[in-house]
Amino acid sequence: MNRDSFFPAECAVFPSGGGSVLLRNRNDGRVLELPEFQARLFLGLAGCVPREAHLETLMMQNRRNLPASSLAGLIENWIGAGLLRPESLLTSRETGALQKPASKPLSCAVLTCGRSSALSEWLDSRISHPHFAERRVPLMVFDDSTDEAVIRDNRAIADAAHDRYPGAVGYFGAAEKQALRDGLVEAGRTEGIGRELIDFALYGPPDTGNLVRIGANRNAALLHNGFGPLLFSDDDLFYRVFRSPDAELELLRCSPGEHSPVRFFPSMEALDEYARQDHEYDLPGEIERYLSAPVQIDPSVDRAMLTPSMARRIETGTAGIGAVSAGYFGGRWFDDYPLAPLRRSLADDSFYLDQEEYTEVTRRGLNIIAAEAVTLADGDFLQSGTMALDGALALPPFFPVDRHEDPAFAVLFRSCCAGSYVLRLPVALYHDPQQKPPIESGSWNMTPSAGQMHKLIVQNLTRQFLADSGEERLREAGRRYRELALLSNSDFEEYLRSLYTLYVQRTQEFIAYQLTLFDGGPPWWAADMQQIDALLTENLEDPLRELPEGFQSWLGLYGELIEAWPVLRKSAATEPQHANSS
Amino acid sequence: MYAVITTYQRPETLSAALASFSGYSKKYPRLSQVLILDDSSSAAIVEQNRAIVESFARQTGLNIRSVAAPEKRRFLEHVMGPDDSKAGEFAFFGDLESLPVPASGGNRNAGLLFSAGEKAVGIDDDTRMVFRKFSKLGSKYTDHGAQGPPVIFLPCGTEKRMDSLLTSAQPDIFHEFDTILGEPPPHKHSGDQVESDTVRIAMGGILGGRWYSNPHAYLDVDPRWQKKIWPNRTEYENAKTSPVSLLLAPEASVTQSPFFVTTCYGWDGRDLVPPFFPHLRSDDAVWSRMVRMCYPHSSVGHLPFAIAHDRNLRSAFSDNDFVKTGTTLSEFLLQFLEYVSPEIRLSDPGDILSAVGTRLSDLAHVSSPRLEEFLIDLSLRFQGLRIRRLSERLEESTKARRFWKDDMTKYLSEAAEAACSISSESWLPREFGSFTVREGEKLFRDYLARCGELLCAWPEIWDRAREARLAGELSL
Repeated sequence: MNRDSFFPAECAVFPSGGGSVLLRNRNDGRVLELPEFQARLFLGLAGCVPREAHLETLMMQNRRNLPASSLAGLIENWIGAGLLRPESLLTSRETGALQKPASKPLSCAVLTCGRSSALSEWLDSRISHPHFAERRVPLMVFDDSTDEAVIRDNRAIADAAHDRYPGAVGYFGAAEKQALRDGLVEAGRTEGIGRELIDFALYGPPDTGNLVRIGANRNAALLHNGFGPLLFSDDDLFYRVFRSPDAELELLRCSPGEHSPVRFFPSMEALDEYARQDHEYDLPGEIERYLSAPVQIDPSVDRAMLTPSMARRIETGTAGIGAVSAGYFGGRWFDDYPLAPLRRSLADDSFYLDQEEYTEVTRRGLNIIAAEAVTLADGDFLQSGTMALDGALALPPFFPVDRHEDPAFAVLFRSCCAGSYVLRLPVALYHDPQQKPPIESGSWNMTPSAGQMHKLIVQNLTRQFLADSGEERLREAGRRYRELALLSNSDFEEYLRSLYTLYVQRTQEFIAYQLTLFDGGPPWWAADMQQIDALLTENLEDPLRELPEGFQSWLGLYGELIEAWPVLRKSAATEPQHANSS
Repeated sequence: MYAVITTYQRPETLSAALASFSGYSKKYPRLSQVLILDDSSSAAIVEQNRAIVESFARQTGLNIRSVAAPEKRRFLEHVMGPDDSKAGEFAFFGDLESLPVPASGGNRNAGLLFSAGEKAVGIDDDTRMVFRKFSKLGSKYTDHGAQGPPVIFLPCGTEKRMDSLLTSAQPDIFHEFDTILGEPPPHKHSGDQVESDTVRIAMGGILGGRWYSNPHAYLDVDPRWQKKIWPNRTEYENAKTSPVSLLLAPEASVTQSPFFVTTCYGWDGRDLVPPFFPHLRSDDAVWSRMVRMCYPHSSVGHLPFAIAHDRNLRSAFSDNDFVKTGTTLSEFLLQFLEYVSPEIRLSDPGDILSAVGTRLSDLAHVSSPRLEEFLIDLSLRFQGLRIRRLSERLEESTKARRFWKDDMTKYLSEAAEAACSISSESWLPREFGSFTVREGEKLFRDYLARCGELLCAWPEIWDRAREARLAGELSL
């Protein structure tokens, strides 16, 4: 066998008779009839790899114990039939892995609410740093604070930063938001977009109680930014770049899209000992390098995990990088959720084996989450702490109320902007651990919140689309949300219960899998897992108890917002800039 | 209860139908009105039909009226207003300039709206009020759940062969439909029982002239019946092309399968009933599927009698019919409904129709490559499922006739080959095959968009028609 590499075509499978299926090769449009077991074997292949590697995969899946020579024969047949496709189809367009068209310069939006000291440190860490200062990356403060004193402080902090920074530093607070809102309301009159919808986008619904409105703040940033590239940053992510010791900074790796590896640590000292700070790593530079670039593959790219769907997009020249993200180093990025016990099989196991260390790991949640290489992912895991988006795409709005607005956005973004992939950089920014109090074992809150339930909903609503363009898909998605608002109360509740039940089943299966994997020990970890399992079971009795009263109508409004969003973005782009910036 | 008779361009046939119908309905007086839905394109024939109808009304004293284009237009104007009847126009008259496929969906829609608010029975003008039933099968009432249609389909080939299985029946079909419609099934079947509420639509069987256009339908014959209807190869070969067929439920039954034929059928028009799509052959299966989407827990009723269907109006299948491949428009629409059904969680039937309609309109506007990809996927799914179903039937058919097995084997091989040959030149539904791909695509998109608009507008049209009719505002 020679070393030529081949990748599997993306195929749709349809039933047929006599133990066969019809396989439609989406790359070249051909339809083949294959025995079902052969189709199953074929569909297990991934990556653009030599024949031997595909053969190895087949050998592992070979439930019929076919001899290796037969499996090798299948590979040759599939190559002949165009099901396994030569690597040259991925590389023949242009040279270079990623060639980026000219685009607008990157802007950076920091989202803050009520914590001036964090904002101050956020700005300090950037305005003095050449990676930002030399590029004069515009820094925009999106302030959702409601306390007048905090607003004054934050505005003053932004003004002071502006005096020390060669680029623009802008402040976008309540007054600026009001001006943007008034402009959109005016423009919306001719477009048939009501005031209520614009308020929903920028402020969330009026009766949200204690729920945060970070999604509304993100919407303001998206609208203000127009159609250029935008880097979102949380105000507690300071510009200090860290990476795992084995991170590959220049290797581009294709991935099916699973979460980035996360490692938990009992103390900052342990975390510091593990990870290394990289003073040279130019995060905005790397974002500018990759964001909006079309995806092409050259031999230096690790293609072992290239998915068939991504390969088809690359082959047809319709793959691009729509989002670039970096990870977190330090404080936890999740709420009072037992992520550390639940993620054991995906994390570094050593700290789970010592009870004291394990207790600290679960209590404090200190961690580093970052890709191992520059990872081009065919999934929807996209953390928004450091997240750059290609504003030229048909981006959806964020759900304006409660947390988990970012994973829900990611699902909608990936499903609507088909062919736009997430690129994860192998670095993490320092995440201030002071901002998150410890969680005591057993005090986890696992009752589904509005944001968590919304995440389940969006995953369910975006499984299939009639259209292929981003704007049309947004319309379809919006309509599905509006239809949810039309359900009777009992049908809506039944729908939510069914989604949550499915989620619990999957999580409990994962718990059982890990308990088996680690032989049910050590006991402290197993006890936590059993407690989590019990909490989930308990939640099944009344999973809707913490959902706010207006939740269903919010979904309907969100549907309307999704449909109106492209128009609102265009209107906002023609509005005068409302931020107080220089 | 209302009765509607659909007719098109054949006064003699209508006259014969009325002769049979008026005698029958005098014997079983239950009808408040009989509407003759006339879709004839020739004004002279419309007048001729009108005269026939008036003559029968005078002779029999039946409340029988003709509903042709002028009545339909007046109706639309009355219920929708002159400026708001675009969807109604399409519902009644379709758009033959865009898609020259004659079909009776538009005419049937007139029947739905003119009787909105009532239960109704519909028959075609080529039926005669002569009924038969199986001579040796039971009469219990069975719920078949989701298992499939409880009817037996037998392309017998000759009337003699068909007669050997049947005995005469004298049902009061108006009573039968009136009893089954709007009621829950009286019996429960423990097997695959799906929760049912009421029967929304029901059908009787058909004997005589074939009602189907797929020449390969003989492959669907249950092997247990093959010896009875095809004792030898000669009769089998004749039956494959002959128009003499039988479709009959052995017992009164209900099912969640949407299988449906509108030769002799009834509906419960007291609640919203979806429209038929104009220009659609086999529109009844699509209609039935939409009824089941609107009322997911409802059942389809099957009555254990077959109505005589004029065999002389049907021709035998030709060799050319057997070589046609590809998916038909109704097969595509059925697959489309299957595709969108899981994501439509609404419970109000009007909202459901609007949701389906919006999706059809959306599909009309997707990019060309996407439309092609989507249609090919649905077509492959449909063809693949049919191949799988027939393959399973062949595998299970140890007692089937050898000649049938040979034909089935050949057909399955050709069908798989045809499925694999689908291409950028052949992805449109078969009805658009006579156009260039570009022209056909445009017509197909227009058709989807019009059907989408119709579904979105239908709940309001229906409500207004029902209110106007119940208020006695409509005069013909």
